[in-house]
Amino acid sequence: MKFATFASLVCLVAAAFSPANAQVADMNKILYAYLRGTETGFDPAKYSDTGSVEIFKSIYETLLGYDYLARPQMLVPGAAEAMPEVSEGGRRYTFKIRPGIYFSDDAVFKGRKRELVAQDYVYSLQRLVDQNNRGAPWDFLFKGKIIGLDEKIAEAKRTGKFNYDKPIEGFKAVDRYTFQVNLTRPDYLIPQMMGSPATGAVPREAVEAYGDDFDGHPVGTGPYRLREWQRRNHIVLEANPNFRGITYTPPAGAKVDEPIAAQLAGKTFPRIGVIDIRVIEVPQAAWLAFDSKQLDVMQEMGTAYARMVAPDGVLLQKYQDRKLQFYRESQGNTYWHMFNMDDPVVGGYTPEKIGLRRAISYAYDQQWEANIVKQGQAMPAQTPIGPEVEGYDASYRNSFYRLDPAYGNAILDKYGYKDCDNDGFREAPGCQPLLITYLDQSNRDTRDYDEMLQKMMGSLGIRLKMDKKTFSDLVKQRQAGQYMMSFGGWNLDYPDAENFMQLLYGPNAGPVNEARFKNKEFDQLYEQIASMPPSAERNAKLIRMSKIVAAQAPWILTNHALFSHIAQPWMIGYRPHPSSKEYWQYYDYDQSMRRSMTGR
Amino acid sequence: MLAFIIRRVLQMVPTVIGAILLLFVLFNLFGGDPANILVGKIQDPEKIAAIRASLGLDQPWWIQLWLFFKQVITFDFGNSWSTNEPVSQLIAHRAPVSMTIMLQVWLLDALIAVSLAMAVAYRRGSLTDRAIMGICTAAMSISLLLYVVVGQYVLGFKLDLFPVLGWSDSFVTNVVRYAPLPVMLLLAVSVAPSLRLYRSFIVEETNQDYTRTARAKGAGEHRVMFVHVLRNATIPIATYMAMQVPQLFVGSFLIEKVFSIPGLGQEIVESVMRSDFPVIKAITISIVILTMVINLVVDLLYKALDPRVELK
Repeated sequence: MKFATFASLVCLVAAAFSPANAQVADMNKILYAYLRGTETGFDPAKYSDTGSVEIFKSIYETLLGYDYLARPQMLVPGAAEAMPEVSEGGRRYTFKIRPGIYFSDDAVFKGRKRELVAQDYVYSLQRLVDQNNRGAPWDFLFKGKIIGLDEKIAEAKRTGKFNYDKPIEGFKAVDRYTFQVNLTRPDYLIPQMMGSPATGAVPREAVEAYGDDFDGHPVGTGPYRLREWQRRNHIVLEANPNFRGITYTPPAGAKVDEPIAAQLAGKTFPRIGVIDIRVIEVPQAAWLAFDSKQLDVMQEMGTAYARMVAPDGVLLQKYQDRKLQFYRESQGNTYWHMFNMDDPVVGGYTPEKIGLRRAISYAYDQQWEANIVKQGQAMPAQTPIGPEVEGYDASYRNSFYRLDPAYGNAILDKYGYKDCDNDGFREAPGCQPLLITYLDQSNRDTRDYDEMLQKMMGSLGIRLKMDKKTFSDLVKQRQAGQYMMSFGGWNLDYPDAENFMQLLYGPNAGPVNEARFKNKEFDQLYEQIASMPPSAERNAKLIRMSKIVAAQAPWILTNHALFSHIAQPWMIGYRPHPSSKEYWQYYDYDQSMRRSMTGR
Repeated sequence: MLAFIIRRVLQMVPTVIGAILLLFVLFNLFGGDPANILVGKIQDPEKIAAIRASLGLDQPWWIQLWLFFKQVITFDFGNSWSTNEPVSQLIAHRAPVSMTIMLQVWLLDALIAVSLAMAVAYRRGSLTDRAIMGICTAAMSISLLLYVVVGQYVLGFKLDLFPVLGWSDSFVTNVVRYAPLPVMLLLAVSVAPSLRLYRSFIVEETNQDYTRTARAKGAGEHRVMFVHVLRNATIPIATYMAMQVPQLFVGSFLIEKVFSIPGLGQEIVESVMRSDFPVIKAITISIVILTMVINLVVDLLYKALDPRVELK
């Protein structure tokens, strides 16, 4: 009887401390993957480069995340039990953290299990604005929004030390599992921020114990933990034994890839025990490694190889015969050429200056760029907003973005840009000299672009000079506003239109709004959409903003890059995500098929 | 001999000082601002200033220069600006990787080039000599990039003779499995110029009076070539080989990049691209010192090879 009681007690205690689904990863399964650029370190507060984010997104858990298969992207609970409770008219967000989430074991915990609690998010999110974390590359997520946070930043600037012990109203642990965000003004983008990879929870004791070495000693609650790290060459992740197993259920109302959802149904993840990632920066080497079956998956193929494998977005027959899996989609980015709106020749808001920029816009061949320069791995952009983000309207067509150099020439004639000295090139109104200088980066391989730009300006009879500078000099010149035309591009930080429109918001002129564009109506609309929840009304405002940009032409929008991904036939549940990087946890493979085809 | 060594070591000091000054001036004039790279997507001037301050770039130039001298004296170059990795650790991890490839190339290059140079010098003017020299000229005309791209595709992928890329933690696996293809491709480029050079050294010696005397005394051709000619040709060959020694540590950027080999070659080029001054400083100064030490060793070697040489 006594034994039975004791055994029941043991079972009860064990059940209480066990996650809902035990970790089931097969440690004999090794996925071979690659990074096409180097990583830097795995401290989410310090690094924002793609390689580092791709790794640490699987190590740390954010409160919310993006559903693996839902397109358009859909926010779903991550470490939080449910979506946050929004109150105070969008000024307060309350998150309930799932009990029973544990950090991976580490010496710093002295043999005890360390549970994730609300205070971990209070600490981790404050780290994102601490300038001592390599200049805090993610501080834009919360700076100027959270009650008490800016005062702390100012204090840290004075003292040189960020005081994590001083509580603030803005980030508050209401109880062990309740985390609250209090804002200075309504902001409906807070859930998006909580899905950003930087907002993963780190344990304070580990950060303080390892100091700078936390870069290479990450401790998180995510599905994987770091096993080996040969910097900028080889990274090995292994399944975190403390991770609760997760299952996949498509969110209600979401449009998902049904065949992949069927492959995931009823399984507990992660399935693969070890992720072996090699940094391969040379596209030929990466493709040959994949083609020779050294790699199981190949995310983000180089453009030349994507065209070679799937010239029109569809795999060539020989690859279809091999049953390779192929996906091509946008990842929420936009590229453009920009004018310096403060420049006396191309900038300004008078009709002849707007006419000059619009004329150049009409001479720009977006399709040629997408097909020839980008080798079919891009789609012409109609709006500054990248695809696959909230507020993007795929059906929207901007009437200013069409190839019509004759119309462009007519505009120039109308505003007095004439060839006064009969040398074949136009002069500015009043026969003033007209030479447009394009500021470019010296180590970029841009011969195709240079040729295209010369052709574009040539079709209008405008002289163009390419000014190639090193990256540092280019940045300095742009920041000082010493350029006429240059290039730009943006990859989303969070999938919302606001993240793109901030790049043209007047008060951001300088580091963010490099075109220095200032338009009263645009700025008012920006302020409105920044504090509105997603709605048809918000989308209408976004379209109006796109129209203002097209009409004033501070940018000539070029394209949205497409990314191609390919996987071996034995991969199961393979579906790259346009912005979320924790996809490895959903991958699996058919062991026997791989063994029969590769011997491993 | 001891006085010679002490004198040469003392001569190294002004050379190192000169290298420090040159590197410091070049970096500050042309090196770019690492803060622009570290700051990320948004070039916020306030953040750039904070990063510059954290790297010590806001200090007056004489303080930065003094710190550089201090780093050279203590041989502690701190952490990499871009990756935060201790520079000493970075070199300790990556230099042996480069050496695993380059040492094999160096030795095999010497073995192949000296052997073939002897053979063609032996048959100077023959069809074999002209054919090998022709092949050398052709081989030298092709860039390493082409060898690497074609070699990886044909030998690695198409014929499946070697892995397409890779590197492991095991020295034996690396030597047996991953290094052979990169080594072969580097040899394809390096043997030709070495062979031409060594051939000229050997031919030069075969025209000397002592060679004619040896033949006149009735020495066999083998003895003339291997005992007299090769011994004397060893001095310029050893000099040439010694000058290549610093390269063993530096590695080959292209090979390391294409075959994903975590060597120092990649690191050097990327450090320059990222304006990572601590790494550039550490590697440059190490190479300067190594080159001077190698020169000293070569001078001592001359004495060992030819006792008539006097060290002054």
